[in-house]
Amino acid sequence: MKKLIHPYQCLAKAMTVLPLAAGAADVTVELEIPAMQTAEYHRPYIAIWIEDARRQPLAQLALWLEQEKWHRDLRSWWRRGGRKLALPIDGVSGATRKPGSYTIQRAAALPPGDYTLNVEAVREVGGREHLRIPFHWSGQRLQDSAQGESELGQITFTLEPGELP
Amino acid sequence: MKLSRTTPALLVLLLISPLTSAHKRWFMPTDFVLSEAETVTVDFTASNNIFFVDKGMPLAGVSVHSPAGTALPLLQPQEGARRSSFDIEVSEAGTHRVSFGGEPMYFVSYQMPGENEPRHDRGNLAGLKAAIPPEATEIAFAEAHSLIETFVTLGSETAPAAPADSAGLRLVLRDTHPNALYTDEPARFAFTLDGEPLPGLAVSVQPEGSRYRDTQELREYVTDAAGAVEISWPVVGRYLLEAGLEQELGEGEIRKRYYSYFLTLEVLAP
Repeated sequence: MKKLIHPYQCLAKAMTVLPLAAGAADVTVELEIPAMQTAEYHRPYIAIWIEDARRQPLAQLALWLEQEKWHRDLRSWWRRGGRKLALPIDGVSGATRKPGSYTIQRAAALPPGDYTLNVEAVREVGGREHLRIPFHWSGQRLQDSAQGESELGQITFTLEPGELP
Repeated sequence: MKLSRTTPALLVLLLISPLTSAHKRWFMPTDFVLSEAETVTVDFTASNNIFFVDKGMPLAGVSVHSPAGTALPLLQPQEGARRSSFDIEVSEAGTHRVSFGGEPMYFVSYQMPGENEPRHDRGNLAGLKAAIPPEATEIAFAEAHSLIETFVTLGSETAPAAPADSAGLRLVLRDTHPNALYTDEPARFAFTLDGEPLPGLAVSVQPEGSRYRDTQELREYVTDAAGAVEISWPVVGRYLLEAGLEQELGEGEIRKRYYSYFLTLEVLAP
């Protein structure tokens, strides 16, 4: 049986779809990996991702990893979807980085709503740090930052309206 | 090179473990203190995850000595992928010494013509020398000595049997007994190098459970003029004590010598 759709339903559908069409964002994350004064130094494993209000991962922005054996040490990332990912991910996965400043730019499909940017770092015979920046995306440019205390330095996060990836 | 307290300038002491890529290595006995004769199973592994086993260590070179100094057999020995283990029959009252020492490990680095990075290898000295290509230059060897220990006591703690010699980096069992550690009492441990007190030695202790926290919780100390450190224990549980030093030997065949010492301990509630 063919289902009849009331014209108002059509309108309502169109209204929910309209903002979705604008739901793309250019994401820029600037992060600092601090230099450590320690004799035994290993580069940190780092995961950067965006999760939705239910803490489901929506976009993986950067995964700087080495041995798979230690991926689980990025505890939050591992719990929130990391363990289910097929790796490597083109353009996202990469080798671990030495201390310094880095800029990551990605296009992400991001309908308006509430999200959190996650940056998690863990270092062998070092520590672990997880920074979270909650944000509301309405299609307008926004910028926020967070300051790490041990394994991460300054994190700056910028969202701008963009093209769907 | 002969070292003594009067030649401290010849010593270059690093603050933390000198072998920057080496894993922590440790014994883990099922019991540190017993009130009745019992079989004790000891795990032996190389792992930076305190105290989860990771890479099995070879059992050749492991010795167990009873309080009277009798060498005890390693029963049910097993060399596994993630850990090696053995049983010991602890039936003599007093403190047993479990240790792994043996021959030093050698490291070599050399430059090959046309290559950007020097090559590295490790093994025994003769084998390394034989494997160096004739066109190699800038050949430098390093020598690494390791001592890994733990102690198990039946009944009252005693001075464990003395080791065969005092060569290398050693813990002196003189002040606090390693099987009588409590959170309300600091412990004093002294170290010697080739039998001489060793001031300026970097010593660290780390409580178990690093997998479940965000920090290593390493507590770092440097030995005083008498070669001793006083360590306080923030929480009960098992600890890994680690000490290490690096000597620059100048322009000879062996440029550097490393010593590392690992001791597994248990700290009890008051």
